[in-house]
Amino acid sequence: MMDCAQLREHYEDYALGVLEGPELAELEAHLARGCDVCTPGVERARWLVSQLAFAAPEQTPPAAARAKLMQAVRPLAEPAPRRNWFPVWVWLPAAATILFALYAMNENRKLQQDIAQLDASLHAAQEQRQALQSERERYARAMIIMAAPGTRRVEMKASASDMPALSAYVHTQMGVVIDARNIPMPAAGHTFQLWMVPKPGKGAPISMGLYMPDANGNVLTVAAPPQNVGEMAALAVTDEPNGGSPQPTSKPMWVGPLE
Amino acid sequence: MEARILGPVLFAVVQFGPDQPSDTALMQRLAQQDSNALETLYDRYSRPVYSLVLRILQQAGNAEEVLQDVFLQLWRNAHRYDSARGPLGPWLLTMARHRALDLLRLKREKQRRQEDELDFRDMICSAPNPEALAQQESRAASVRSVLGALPDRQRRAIELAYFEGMTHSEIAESMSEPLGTVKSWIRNGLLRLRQELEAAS
Repeated sequence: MMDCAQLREHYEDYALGVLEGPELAELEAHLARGCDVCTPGVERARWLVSQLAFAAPEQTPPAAARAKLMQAVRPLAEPAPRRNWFPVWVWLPAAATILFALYAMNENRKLQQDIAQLDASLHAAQEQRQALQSERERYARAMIIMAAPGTRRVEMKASASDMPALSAYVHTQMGVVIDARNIPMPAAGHTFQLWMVPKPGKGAPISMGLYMPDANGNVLTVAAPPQNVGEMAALAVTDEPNGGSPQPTSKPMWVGPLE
Repeated sequence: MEARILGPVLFAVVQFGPDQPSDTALMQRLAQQDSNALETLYDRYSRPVYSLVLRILQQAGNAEEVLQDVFLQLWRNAHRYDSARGPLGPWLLTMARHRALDLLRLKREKQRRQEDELDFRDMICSAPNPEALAQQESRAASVRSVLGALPDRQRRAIELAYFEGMTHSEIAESMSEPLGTVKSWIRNGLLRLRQELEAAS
């Protein structure tokens, strides 16, 4: 797993679109989770890259292009406020014009509502796409960790005999992946919490994050490793109230030794 | 590189007079569906946008299509533009480059175009010193100077990346150069550009 300091030198390559491989995946993962170091760094790099447009030879667009654009846009535009230039004696025709304008405005408003609905649908689709993107990146990170040299598989046995074991993949630098199939949901208002349990005398358990199984009881979650993995004795999962607990409040449901 | 370049155009459009509305004011009006604001912004930015997309696409009809698309996107998404996140010019140029490269890849790879995949967060450009925007001409000169001073093949690598949307590997293959060499060329070229632009500010 690369940290922000390691990714900094790739910001310009990313903005330019030349970055590939694990660096691209890592940086995209940082951006997907709104990293407050990499996001502004990439935005600054994007500005630098945008300046390369100055190297393009100057060209003037065809005059018809402007008319075509405005022709496409004007039916959607709000009518600009106009001063009434008509004298009093033309009020009747003016009134007819106003009535027609009101009708047109009403039609326009309906059109605007349709556009707003389309925008809302688009927004929902974009959010769904971002969620899928985030899911895909998490999956990709999990695959990278699981396949990395130096990753150790740890079987986490369940405390209850009727529950399946979990598989943990531990890489001291890249992180921990928890892979589970067909596990039960936690109690209502509760969530599962993953812990690193230190060796005796080395401190209290360290929370590695919360997770919930999906509708099929499957879990694939990635957690960053603590700095002192070497001092850890075991991985454990407990059932905790929603939002998690600072320290475990229940007996572990799954435990896997790290030694 | 052709003799006439884009810098003076951008300088001219950014150096609008004190009686001209600012980009921020125009974008606020655009968010209210004011078509006059769109006309003003089109007059201000259509030339640099068109110049860029024509350089990428090398075909006037396609460039005109992308130009139209960029300003329609601006019209439809004006409410999403946040002037606090960065100036409009680089945002528009970034969107134009994305759209043009999408079309270029579509034509190359015969892929179906994904019209709805434009994410406006991917367009945000944060200028290092927004107050220095008035120095656009000197920045344009810096870009030309830096690129002009680079060895031909190094400049070509940057052009393949920016104007043709190639990745490191694709550039290395296209130029028959080692991947590491291409990475160094691009990285060093952009670092030099950043240094020049910071010095110009």
